[in-house]
Amino acid sequence: MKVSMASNNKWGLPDLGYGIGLRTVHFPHILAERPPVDWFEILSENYMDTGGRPAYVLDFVAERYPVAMHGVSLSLGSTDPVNFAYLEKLKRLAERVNARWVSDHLCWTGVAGRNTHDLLPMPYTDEALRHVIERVRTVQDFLGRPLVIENPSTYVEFAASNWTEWDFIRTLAEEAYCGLLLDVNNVYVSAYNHGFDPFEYIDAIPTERVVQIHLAGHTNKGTHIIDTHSDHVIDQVWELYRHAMKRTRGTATLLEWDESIPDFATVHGESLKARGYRPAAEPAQVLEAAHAG
Amino acid sequence: MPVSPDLATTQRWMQAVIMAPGDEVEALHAEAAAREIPPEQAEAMVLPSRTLSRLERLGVYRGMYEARLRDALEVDYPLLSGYLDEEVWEELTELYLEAHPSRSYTLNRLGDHLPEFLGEIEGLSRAAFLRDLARYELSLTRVFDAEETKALTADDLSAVAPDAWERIRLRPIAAFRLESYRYPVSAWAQEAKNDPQTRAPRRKDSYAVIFRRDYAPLTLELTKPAFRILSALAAGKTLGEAIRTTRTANESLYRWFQIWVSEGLFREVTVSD
Repeated sequence: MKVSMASNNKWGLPDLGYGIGLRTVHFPHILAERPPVDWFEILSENYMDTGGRPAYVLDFVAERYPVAMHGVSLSLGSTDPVNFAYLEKLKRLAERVNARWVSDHLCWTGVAGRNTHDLLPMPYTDEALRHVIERVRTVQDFLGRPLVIENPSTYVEFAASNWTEWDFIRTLAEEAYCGLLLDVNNVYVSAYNHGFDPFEYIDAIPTERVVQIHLAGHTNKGTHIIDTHSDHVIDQVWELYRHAMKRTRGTATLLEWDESIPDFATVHGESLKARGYRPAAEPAQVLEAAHAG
Repeated sequence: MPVSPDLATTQRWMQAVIMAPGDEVEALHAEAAAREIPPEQAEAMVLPSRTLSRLERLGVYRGMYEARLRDALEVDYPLLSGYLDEEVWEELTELYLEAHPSRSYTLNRLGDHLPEFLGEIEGLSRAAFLRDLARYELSLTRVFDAEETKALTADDLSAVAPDAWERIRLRPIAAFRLESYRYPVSAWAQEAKNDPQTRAPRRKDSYAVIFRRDYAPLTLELTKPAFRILSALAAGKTLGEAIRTTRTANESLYRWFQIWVSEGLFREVTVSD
């Protein structure tokens, strides 16, 4: 039986171990085999408006595994009004699956009532920072829990930006009192696309805010990298992960695989590789885990 | 010289550039984009990278927008998108997304207007068949996501007194859609799943109920009288009233009813006074 380790974030949210994203192609395997996965992350929007098979599988999973929710439509950075109807559904889903936490991205997905369904980049300006801090506070008040915010992969930088992304995120987390989902693949992708040092980025992230880490593969086009979640994690990203885990001293880790998804065993095996990059547990953590068991 | 519009303007501009048809330069000049940032200043909104120009970087988002939304439509309309030539499908989806951009947080309902849109396009070959096919595939997606409701069994109905049958009302399950078509689309769809080269059918009215059992969307083809009776029941008529919408032999009625109940089409029976 997997034992959730205590973790070092401000909220005491547990280190759930090594999870994978719940994806439709794996439903039959999960229902039939009940594989020994530490935890699952669900894409919130895939389950908010369905009463069919996805809802049935979700209930099956939530009864047997810890679940965290990850959204792509909160549009935290948008200048459109907050969509409270969406938030209401998000809150109900979180209650239904006993979500350990709820995350979304530092981005905007649309404006003027339209939705591009992409995670669009923010200009890192003072105005944008104030705007996002206010939005995060509003969302957290509504959900009644800390929101966990992920750093995005981006492909443009705005000329108007006067903050680095990592300083923007650190300040946002501190001012809005929110959690962070550190996507080390996204750090790598954006570092490649914009030419910054990914280790400097990770060193600037306040570790006590980090609730979860994402790992994924990507597509290198030569001139730029696209965050496709379509392949194995590359060595450079594993090294970033090792560095991040050393700093956080252990954090719930999730492997994303969303395109050309292989069989369950391959995805699960990729997530379990992360064990090899985890720093040795400190005596206090081992004791805590033993008591929890 | 860098441009520093406020956040709202920046977002409206970027979205307009992403959604505009044509190439990147045309996108900067598109009316919705130029209204926010003058085209001659627009490139300066973003920085180049060591390998990509400013326009190429914006192009990354433009390409992903179109591909993502087209993929979503293909998930909902696999037969329609497979039937059409790739070029026609791409042009069609581009026009559709211009006319019906997503206004929802979910992609699940992106294709809701596609059947009616197909009816509005001038010069589209076999438009009536394509529209029927789109309606059929849309019904499958609706049924897939509908609320799960427990179906009545034959045992549940055995409790109805013999003299009350004429007065019963049967409420369909939530995952239930009745459709009439000008083409035999559901039969064609079964063939096309096995052979994507299946030619479009000749015109012939057809009727079907699309429903879900064990979480799988299913189609039951109906005769016109059976469709009328089911439509009347779904509209809240009593069984007696529904049967009187057609002149059908009792044997057929009995057989249809057995099939409908065994397929789990109804969730509730009530007897009216």
